[in-house]
Amino acid sequence: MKHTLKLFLSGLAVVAVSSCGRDANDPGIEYAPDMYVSKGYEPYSQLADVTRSITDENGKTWVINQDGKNMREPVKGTIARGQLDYVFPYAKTPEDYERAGAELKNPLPASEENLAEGKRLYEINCTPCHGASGKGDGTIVQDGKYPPPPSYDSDRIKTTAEGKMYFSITYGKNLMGSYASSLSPTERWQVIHYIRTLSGTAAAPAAAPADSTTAPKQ
Amino acid sequence: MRIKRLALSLTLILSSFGFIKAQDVAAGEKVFKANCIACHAINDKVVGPALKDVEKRRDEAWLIKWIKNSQEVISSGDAYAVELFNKYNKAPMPPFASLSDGDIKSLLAYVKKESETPAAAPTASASSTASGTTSATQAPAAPQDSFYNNYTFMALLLMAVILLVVVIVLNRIKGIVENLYKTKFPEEAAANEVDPRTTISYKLFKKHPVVGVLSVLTIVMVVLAGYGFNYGNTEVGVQKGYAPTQPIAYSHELHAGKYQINCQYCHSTASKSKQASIPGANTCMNCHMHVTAKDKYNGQVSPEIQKIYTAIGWDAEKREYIPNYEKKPIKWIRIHNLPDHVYFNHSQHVKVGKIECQKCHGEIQTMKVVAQNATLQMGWCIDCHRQTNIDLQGNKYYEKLHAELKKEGRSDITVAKNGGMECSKCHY
Repeated sequence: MKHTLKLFLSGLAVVAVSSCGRDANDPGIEYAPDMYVSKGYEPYSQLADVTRSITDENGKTWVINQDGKNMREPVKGTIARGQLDYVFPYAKTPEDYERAGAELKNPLPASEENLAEGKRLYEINCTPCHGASGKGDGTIVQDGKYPPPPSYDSDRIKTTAEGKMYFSITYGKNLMGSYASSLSPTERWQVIHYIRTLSGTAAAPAAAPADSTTAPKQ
Repeated sequence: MRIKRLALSLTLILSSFGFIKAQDVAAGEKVFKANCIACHAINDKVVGPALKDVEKRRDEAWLIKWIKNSQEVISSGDAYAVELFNKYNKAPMPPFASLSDGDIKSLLAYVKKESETPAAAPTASASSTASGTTSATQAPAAPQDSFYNNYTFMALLLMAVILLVVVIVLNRIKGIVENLYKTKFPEEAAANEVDPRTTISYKLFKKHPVVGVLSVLTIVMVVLAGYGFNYGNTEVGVQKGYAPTQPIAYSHELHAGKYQINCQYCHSTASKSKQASIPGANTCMNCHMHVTAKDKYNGQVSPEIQKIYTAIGWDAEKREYIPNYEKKPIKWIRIHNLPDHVYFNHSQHVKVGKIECQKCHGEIQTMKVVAQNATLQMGWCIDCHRQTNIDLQGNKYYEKLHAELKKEGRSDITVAKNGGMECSKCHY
């Protein structure tokens, strides 16, 4: 009797100790911390020690990652491989806006594939303000948080050159921010193709060449 | 008679005047909403200046000229125009040549009427939205379905304690009754007395103490081992329910739930890369350049939104970026963290697998504070790979596989059957 009582009590004590809920800020026990906070440079991690340095054969000291960032900024004036279409030789000025409108043409054919991808990207990035149908009636606008952008089927947008649209997506315009960090150049042109269908000024769908999803290299 | 006629005509003139005015205002509102509202508001500076009392600042002829082609007015050297242009960061107002003089007059009538209306209406709607949000704030937090952290468990624990007390009390009563019995009826008690040497406890602990101690130890070990196994399996390296306080009280419930902003609007690389990117402050600024929640904070920028401005260097008063500002990146706390010995790729699941974010991350659009929804244990991965059929229809990535399956007369295949269970797919 006494022993069963003791067993029961100890069992109860074990349960009682472990019954406290975990704090929401506590990630809990990691069985191999090096595997979670790795020594290698992982995305979205930061070096704790920004003073770490190496000395080269000439005795000169170089600080590794002065700014604590894992990713290095590209050397000024260089272009990474495969990113030639990121080169955008227009400044954020009204004059270059006009120039982009006159010079830039959509390099992608209005193929089914490009339109489908353009639609997907439009629905992700543009609908909060411009609305699914492009009338400027997105969820944020409807709630009165944001002034409505012009409707795509208005005469002013219908006659806006594609180059100007590309300029606006890249740099932003008025209350619209820049989408250069969310949309690659190819994606921007795909979205423009889709916007053309919303404003009813789409070119007739062209037969897609083999590599139609990538913008031709300049 | 004459006076009556005069009065009648006067009322007619007045009423028609009023009628025309109302019509003007309505037409002006239309013009305003179609052309101006993207950059102008009546009471607030947006991209361009607030339009309140504009007719008191400039005369009608100037305004018509300006609206039709502002750049022309500026290049003509008009001092006021040049100053205005420079003050507003040289953002040109596009020409509205398509508007007629009548349109612009209606527009100005609308602006005049709006200027005279006290700005009471927006406050009322603001307070209503504010109360809406507070009621949302009081909504219960997502329950954490930990084994030890729910009402059923607490109730069971309470019952166990009560039963224990009952057992102890009954035991005492039994002892008292037995003692009473022994003193009242000593003979019967002696006759009923069991020989202590026949009891189990005597046999185990007195006669064979080694066996007794070993069996007790075994029982204790089994209980502890079971507990340890359960702990290791459900706690160590399992961060389900982890919901850290982030540097900015960003609510997914508001952004993804109420405003239905697509997950990939902010986490834009989920379909392109291994990581579903954490958005930079510039993505926040796409909306928060304008949305300051001032109406809820007595005209001040919301302290949480101010944190974005501090990070990126935005002057909310002047509505411009502070030049040469040393940016202070927002240090978001990572929630989902797989150890290095596992490979997981977002684009593979989002773009090729067409899996919804919610399938792994839970109902994010209802979370005020994001909590890890899945255990991220291998069993959880494998279960899904076993049960999920690859989406073959129109999936360019699996065209070849689809064709080969068709040859065999099959139409579906699970992820597991296509190598989703091979160790080296995720561990290498």
